[in-house]
Amino acid sequence: MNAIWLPEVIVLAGAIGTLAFGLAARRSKAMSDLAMTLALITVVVALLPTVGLIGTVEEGFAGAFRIDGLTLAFHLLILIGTGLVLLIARDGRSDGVPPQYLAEYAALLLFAALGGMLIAAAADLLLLFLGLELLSISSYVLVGLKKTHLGSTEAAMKYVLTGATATAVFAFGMSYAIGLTGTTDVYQIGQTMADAGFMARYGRLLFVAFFFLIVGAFYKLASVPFYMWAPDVYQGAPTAVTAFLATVSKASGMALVVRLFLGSFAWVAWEAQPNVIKNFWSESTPYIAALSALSMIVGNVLALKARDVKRMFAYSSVAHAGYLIIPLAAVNPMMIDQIVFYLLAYLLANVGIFAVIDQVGRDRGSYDLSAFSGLYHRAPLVAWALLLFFLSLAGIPLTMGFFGKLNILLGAVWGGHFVLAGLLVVTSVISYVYYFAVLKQVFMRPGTTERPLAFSFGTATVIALAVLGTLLGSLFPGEVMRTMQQAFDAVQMFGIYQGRL
Amino acid sequence: MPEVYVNSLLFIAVFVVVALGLPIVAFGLSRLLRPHHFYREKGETYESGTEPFGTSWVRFKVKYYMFALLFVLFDVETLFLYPWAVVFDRLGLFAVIEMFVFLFLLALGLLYAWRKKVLEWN
Repeated sequence: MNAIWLPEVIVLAGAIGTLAFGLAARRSKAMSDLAMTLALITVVVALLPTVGLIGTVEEGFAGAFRIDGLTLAFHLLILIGTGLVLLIARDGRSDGVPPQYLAEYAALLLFAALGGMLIAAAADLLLLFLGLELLSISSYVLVGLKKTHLGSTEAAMKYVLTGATATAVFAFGMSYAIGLTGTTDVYQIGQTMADAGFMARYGRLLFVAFFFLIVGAFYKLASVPFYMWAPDVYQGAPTAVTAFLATVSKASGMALVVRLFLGSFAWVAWEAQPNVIKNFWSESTPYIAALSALSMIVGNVLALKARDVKRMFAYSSVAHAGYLIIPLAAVNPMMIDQIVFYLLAYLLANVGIFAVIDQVGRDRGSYDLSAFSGLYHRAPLVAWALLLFFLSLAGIPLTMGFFGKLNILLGAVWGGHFVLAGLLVVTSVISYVYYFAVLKQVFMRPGTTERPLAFSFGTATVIALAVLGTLLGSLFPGEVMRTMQQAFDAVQMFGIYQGRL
Repeated sequence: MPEVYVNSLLFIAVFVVVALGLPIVAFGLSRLLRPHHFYREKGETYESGTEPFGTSWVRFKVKYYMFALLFVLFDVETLFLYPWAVVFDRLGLFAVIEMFVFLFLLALGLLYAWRKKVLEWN
């Protein structure tokens, strides 16, 4: 038996160690910096066994904990995202977070990442819920870490209240699913539902359970209907935490939705009337497609009005959640690969942009669009990097984001969803308007100062890594996709179905 | 089992009707029966017989919440320790180690609270 739990245990030990370190080293600035470094080392060390586990398909803890291609792909996304966020957080010390809380800052980021990893690895509703709560509660505290900042406190309060509502919705759906099927195992729920006559009798109630579960899980994705928290929370939180919410938290939410949807529900087929076979997948598609379409439209249209860059990225993240949901509505064999590839492209570009936002925001004391004016003259290299990130997010041809969107588009067409495919293109074009509004400030508007903007080591490293990753994905999209498909074989996810699909 | 589950929804429906009906009937009846004689003191906040003073928007000491949280820490600990102790004989060494890992994590929480001066009341 492999040590399939090793990545999680390392992150847990690192989080506890960081916390204990912060306790031992009270108020000493150098020691607090060391706590952040310790957290970074933890993430890097946890990456090693995760990579080592590639190709493993194994269940542990009585089937509650499952390592397969899906789990490992999301583990890597979460760990890479957390590592980059920690690098930003390490340099963003003056971003309003009191220095005596730096150890907690690092430890909470690790705990939140651990929650995300548990979600990705869970094949049991209870463990899924546990991971979701660990991620949520850590995030609430992280958002409110700027203790003396009014906006941060407001954001934390709103996040807690809306988050609690979403959790309640999720738990309600869970109670129906568990009550009807009599099991908490994600795959076992699907098996029970596939029993002859089960869906004919309890189909309606199970659809209720499904929609409560999915809607509750969509909260983490910040998609319609639970998107209203995003602008305020993104704006109020420390910038590194905003980056975390936009990338790692979203990836975890996606892992939750994919595992629940594909594990329990999607593949179930039943005989509704004699000789009429229905399946859950096609029955639920219209609703998921509607949520996806609404997310794309709402996110992109609201972003047009945003003047605050962090708010703009909150709306942009709602729109991207909409793109990410398309594969769930448009059934096709490559859907998981499409989601993971797009998440990777989105994560790299977003973390890079937030690193720049953090540095510029701290320099100018404002996150308004005008804070970026003249950035090209102050830091030309960073401005070019920013151009690459924005092009990738907007989906301009021959960038990583473009290939991600192209894959999703092809999947949507393959599944017969021409409306979704059309909306993806149209809303992407709308998104050019606000993305280029930032670029216009960077390249074409004179700033109030020409003073060169120095980027600190951590932020510069994040930008460099993000540029490297985005370039790699832009120049060799086919190779990246193929490597992903080989390493994280999505079919493993379906191994359980044994031809019942 | 699922049949019972659907039936139990009926109980919930009955419960909702009773929960809504009871206050409506109680307040409605008392409104019809009681004499109407209002003066200012009647509209004031009930403070167990003493006269209310100040506004209701006062700040509570955050320490109350801290203590409540710490209480939950020990509460959960007991909750898990009891069933563990009951079947202790049959579980063997592994359960002992597992429980000590659990206790270690909880003890860390307590240590954290201690060092952050949550236990001092001033």
